[in-house]
Amino acid sequence: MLSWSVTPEDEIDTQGIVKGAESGDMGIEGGVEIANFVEAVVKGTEEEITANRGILIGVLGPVKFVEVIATAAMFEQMVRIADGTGIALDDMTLGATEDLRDSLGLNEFSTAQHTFRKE
Amino acid sequence: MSAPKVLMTPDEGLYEAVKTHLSACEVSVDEKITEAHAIWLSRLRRPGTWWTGAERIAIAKTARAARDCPLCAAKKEALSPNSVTGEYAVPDDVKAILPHEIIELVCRAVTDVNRMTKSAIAAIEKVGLDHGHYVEALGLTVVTRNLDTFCRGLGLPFYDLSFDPVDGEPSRIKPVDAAMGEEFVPMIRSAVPEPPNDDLWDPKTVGNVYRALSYVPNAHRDTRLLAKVQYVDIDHLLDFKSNSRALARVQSEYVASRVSAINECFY
Repeated sequence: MLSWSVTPEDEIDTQGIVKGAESGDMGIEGGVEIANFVEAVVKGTEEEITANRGILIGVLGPVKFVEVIATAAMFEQMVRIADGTGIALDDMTLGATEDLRDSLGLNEFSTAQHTFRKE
Repeated sequence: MSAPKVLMTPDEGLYEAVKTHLSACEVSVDEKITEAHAIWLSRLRRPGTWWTGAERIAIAKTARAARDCPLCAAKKEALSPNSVTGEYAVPDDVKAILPHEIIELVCRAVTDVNRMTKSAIAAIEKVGLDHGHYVEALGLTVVTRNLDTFCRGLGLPFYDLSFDPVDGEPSRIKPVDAAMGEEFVPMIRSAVPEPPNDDLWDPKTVGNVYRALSYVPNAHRDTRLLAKVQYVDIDHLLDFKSNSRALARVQSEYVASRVSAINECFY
């Protein structure tokens, strides 16, 4: 979905999907701060969340910040729906993401076993 | 299109409680998110398709407790989750009303979902439960995870779950067009579900993630309710040109991609 959302004006480095902030801002406004905050929310401590929240609000402003945490929380839900039900990757997505999955090493994820199967 | 039997307005007391709760954070939260969270909490306390209101609240409490459960952490670290035994750190009132098998699946869905298996889910049939019990429990579990993460990210405590359940029995109605396939649970497979579930998705954009919870249609309706205010209306998921948010779509997708990658979710 990230690669499909890129406009012709954008130049993004999709390695940031797996490497996070160490890939820089990826050409996305607030990319580093978003990556750091999301990582803190998903697997960090309260202190890490607090520190990165303040930084992200400073960079994006409060409205966009709320949308970042709302989206992150929604995907804490969506990933568990996908892996908790064992759904396969849709045919359209399977074909369109072949190169991307290979370059990012996504095929090595343990969940690829059931998600990668052909429908 | 048939009108779904699902609550679309929040209980007044819960709505006020959510408003008060979210007003304590340092930023202003969109009213649509406030209302959607209050609607879901109002749905939580009512009888569902397979669980009573009290059982549904207990499932949400289990999903929350799994975050800090030592047994869950030990199972996640183990080569095989089944090699580690012990007591789940869930409240006593939860243990009193939920089958152990469901507590185990809810905990795995929260902390170790990458190792969920078809056979682990099918095991609930041995204790007289239907796949619908699991699908509804999973739906409640993942929304609890969503709302707890949202509150945590804002620097707030979690929503209070100590409200009273609404009395009544679950409907136990299965979609007539659901069937088991290679996935872990039965799903509606047709592009256009049979009534009264023909509101579930737009046949032009339906993907497997839409079908995932469709064995319990109201669990999918919960996802739709929250996705619309926290991400995008899932009927417009593939419409990358229109964007009603302050965040650019590429920023939203970067957040989504990072969360998925950190969780090692291939889908």
